[in-house]
Amino acid sequence: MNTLRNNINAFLLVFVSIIVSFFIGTLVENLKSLIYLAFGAKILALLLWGVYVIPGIFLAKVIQYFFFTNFDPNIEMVFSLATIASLTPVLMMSMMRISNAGNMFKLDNINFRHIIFFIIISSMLSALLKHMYMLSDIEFSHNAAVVMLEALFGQLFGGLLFVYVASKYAQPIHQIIRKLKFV
Amino acid sequence: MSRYLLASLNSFFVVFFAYFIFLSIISWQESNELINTGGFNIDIGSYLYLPLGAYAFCWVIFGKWGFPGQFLISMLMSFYWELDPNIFIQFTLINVFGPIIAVSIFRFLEVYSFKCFTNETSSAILFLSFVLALLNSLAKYFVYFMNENHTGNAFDFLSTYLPGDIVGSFVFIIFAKFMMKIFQLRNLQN
Repeated sequence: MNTLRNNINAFLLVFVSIIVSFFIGTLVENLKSLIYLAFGAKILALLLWGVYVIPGIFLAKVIQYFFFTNFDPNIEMVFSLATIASLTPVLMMSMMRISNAGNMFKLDNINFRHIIFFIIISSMLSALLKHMYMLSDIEFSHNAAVVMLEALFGQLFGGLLFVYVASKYAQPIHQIIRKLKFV
Repeated sequence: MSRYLLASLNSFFVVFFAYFIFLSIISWQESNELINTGGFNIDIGSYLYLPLGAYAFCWVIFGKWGFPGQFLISMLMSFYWELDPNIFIQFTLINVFGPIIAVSIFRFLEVYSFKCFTNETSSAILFLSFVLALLNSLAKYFVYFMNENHTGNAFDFLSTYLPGDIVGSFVFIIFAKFMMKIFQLRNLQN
């Protein structure tokens, strides 16, 4: 029951940030993917609720690739990209844990600089894997480098911005809401 | 002054040694018809790119003192491979500054200190190789394919550069760490 609630929370967090990113992109055309907040939301969901929220993140990413993308989606591509997007941070968390570079599975005594490191390498690996998958499409590969650069910096900036803002303001906002007795 | 010269010379020869081994392996493969590249082709990387590990090793061991030597050997190798003038400077800068950025990320974000490789574990070195390879492959990919003169296969480029960089840098750094332990060499910066 707790896992289900966490999955719903993660889904809502990622989905709302996708919509926000989408509207930032449509309002400012040149910054279409340069601040991709959904990446930060995904990282935050994994840090807060653990790896059990992967199904919620996966579902949000599937909806994103079906309804909020520039290319014509097909089922195979959507599910592959959603799998890469949801499993890459978990892969990096495991790699960091194995090599004693920081335990991202527990938030106790975590160094915030390790979270920044985690965001940097996850964004790089995620951009690389997604585009290596999409490079099999010949038409896409002509402007692949530009798209990949945008995706990389979008994920990096969006991830750092989202996690920084959340870590700084989430607790005060939560306390204000509690005082208003909505929760 | 003498410290600068000594560190530069040392780093020059360390990177030169890595290039020498790397080119020898390619020549051996071609002579035994294991691969047929038809000469040097920058579109397809090697699966054992040792010089990347050598650059990282020199930055950790010699620091800024070895920088001129690294820059010189990188320029010479770019001349040797007759790189396109559009990517000549960029590839040289990526070779030299890529490992500096990678090691600095680890140090600044307090993941590993990398004061000296002899004190670091193999898993730390593997992780460094992974980040080095990501930075190096992505940077070269962007420089190479944003240039309109190059229309090679991007998938082949990434799928050969990335594993080659990981394996090559890991093998070189582990080898260098082993040699440092045998000959009881120490970090020049300490």
